[in-house]
Amino acid sequence: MLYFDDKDKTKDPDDHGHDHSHSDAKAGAAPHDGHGHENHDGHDHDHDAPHEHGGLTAEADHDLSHAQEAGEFVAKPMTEQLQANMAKHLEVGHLMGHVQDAYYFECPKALGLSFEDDHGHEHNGIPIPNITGFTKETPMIGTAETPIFVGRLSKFMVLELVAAILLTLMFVWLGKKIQSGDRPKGAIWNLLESFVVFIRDDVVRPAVGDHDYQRFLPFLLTMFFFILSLNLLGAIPYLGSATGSLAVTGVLALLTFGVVAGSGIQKMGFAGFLKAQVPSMDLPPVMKVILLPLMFVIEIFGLFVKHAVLAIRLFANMFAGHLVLAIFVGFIGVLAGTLLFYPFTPVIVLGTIAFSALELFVAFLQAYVFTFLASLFIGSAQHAH
Amino acid sequence: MVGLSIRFGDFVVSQFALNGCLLLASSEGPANPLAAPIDLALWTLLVFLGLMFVLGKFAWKPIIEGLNAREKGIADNIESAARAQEEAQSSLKAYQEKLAAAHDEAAAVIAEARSDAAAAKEKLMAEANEEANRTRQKGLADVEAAKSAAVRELAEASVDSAVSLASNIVGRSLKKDDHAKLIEDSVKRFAGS
Amino acid sequence: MTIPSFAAIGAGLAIIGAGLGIGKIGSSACESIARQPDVANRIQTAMIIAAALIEGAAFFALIVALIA
Repeated sequence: MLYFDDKDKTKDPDDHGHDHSHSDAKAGAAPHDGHGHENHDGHDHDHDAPHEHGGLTAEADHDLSHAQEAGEFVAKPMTEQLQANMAKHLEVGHLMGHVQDAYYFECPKALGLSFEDDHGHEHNGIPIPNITGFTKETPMIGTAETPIFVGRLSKFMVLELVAAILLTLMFVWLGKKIQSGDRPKGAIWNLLESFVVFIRDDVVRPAVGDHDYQRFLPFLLTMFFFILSLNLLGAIPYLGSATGSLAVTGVLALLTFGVVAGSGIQKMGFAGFLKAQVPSMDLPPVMKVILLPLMFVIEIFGLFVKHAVLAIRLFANMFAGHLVLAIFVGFIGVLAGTLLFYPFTPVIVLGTIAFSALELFVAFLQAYVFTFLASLFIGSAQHAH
Repeated sequence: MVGLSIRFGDFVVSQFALNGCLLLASSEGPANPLAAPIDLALWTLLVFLGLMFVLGKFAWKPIIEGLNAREKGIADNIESAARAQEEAQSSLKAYQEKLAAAHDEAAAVIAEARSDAAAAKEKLMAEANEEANRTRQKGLADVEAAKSAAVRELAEASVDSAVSLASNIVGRSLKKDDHAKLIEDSVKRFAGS
Repeated sequence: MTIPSFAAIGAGLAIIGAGLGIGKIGSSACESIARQPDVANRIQTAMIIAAALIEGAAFFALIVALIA
């Protein structure tokens, strides 16, 4: 989620001329990687030749003289530098790449963990071993042009597994502790237990109803803690939030829909469940004939929409939050090589920390909202409205 | 800063409109925010169901049962405490009633004893008085009797001596009836004197 | 102006509407809770439901804007 450029890192302003020649050489050697380098490089060339503007800043002046002394070239006006940086660091696909699923875990460049992926692109991070042997070019189902089912272990899959294992360890331990009948002792026990009791007493019980809330507790508790742990894993720099993928939230919403429809049909029968979707109203018979089918269609449509929005809400909140963080950090890259870098980088770092704190809150809030709405939907399927 | 970046985010998001939106395809690459690869979805389904099964069996069940047992235990404790307090209250009340009854009884006993004692004293006093009276009466009667006997004896003796003296003088003997008459008269005189 | 830029304007308009709506819900909920703190829980529930419905509509607009 934090932004680090794969290739030419944010560099010391003093040697950026040097860096550019390097980048040019590379662009010549390897084909562009779809991260907008073509545009960037073309830009460089346009302004490399006529460098008579000199520098807009003392910094650029220094750079110019330094470069001329060394017999190399470069130095561009600040606006050009900013535009070039922006094209590179705030390029849409690039930012997306940091937020979305991948086949490797990102690492700080300083760790020196770089590897080449199947396409010959260099990334800073640890690749996830390809156990199944399928790639996007050779998917399990589908062709290279339209891969329907790739079947390769990805970052989000690993994170989900990590979350599931952590949850299992924590709550099996908690279950043993609670079953011992002792008084709650210690921070972890109290923390986990207060969460469980909160979900049970303040979310599920009032929303589903006193009568049959116990039946849905395992599903809703698992849902809450699974989403929460995925969100919180996303708050750790360099990991990612699996809930920022529509595939994950879509499945969770689909499961919720399954539970809602299943329990409703079990309770009232298929016809009864459909009938319960339409609110009963006191209307003259003529109006009823016109209105009821209309209401029925709207309510059934609304039933699907409610669950679709459940998925989209969680996905959009996590995805947008992480994208904004990526853009924040990308600003540092934009300012690199100009004097603006020095006054604004601390501001951006502080802003990133503040926004991360907000994201931490959102991680809890969205897990709560998802669970709360799922409970409400389940509750409304239990009683005709 | 936040506002700016969010606006920029909107701009970024709107760029994807160019790519179109294939909901269920991962082929669009990293540029499609709505990409939902089926393998990730299936994996999520498996992980979630597995997690729900494992947690439901080994975590939620003991946790919920444990919490319910603890709640029941606390409720029972409160109830039994309330019951014990109620019992204590009622037994305290009973004791207090008993104590009050005993107190009353004691007071009654004391009052009875006091009245008994008073009655006995009264009786004793009355008896003693009566006894004393009787003794006095008897004494008085004895004294009276002795006195009258002494008077009679004295009168008889004096009459006899007077008679003998008078017979001697008169020379004739008085008849028995005369004696009696004389004694009577003299006793009367004595008594009157 | 291309279709995407119109879509972006549409997305912005949708967000303005949703923002106003959720803001109104929040302000009314705060007022109600201040007036009757003892039913704060139920007010909060109603607030979240209403906000979720508005959010849903806003997301719809956003998706339409994305697809356009």
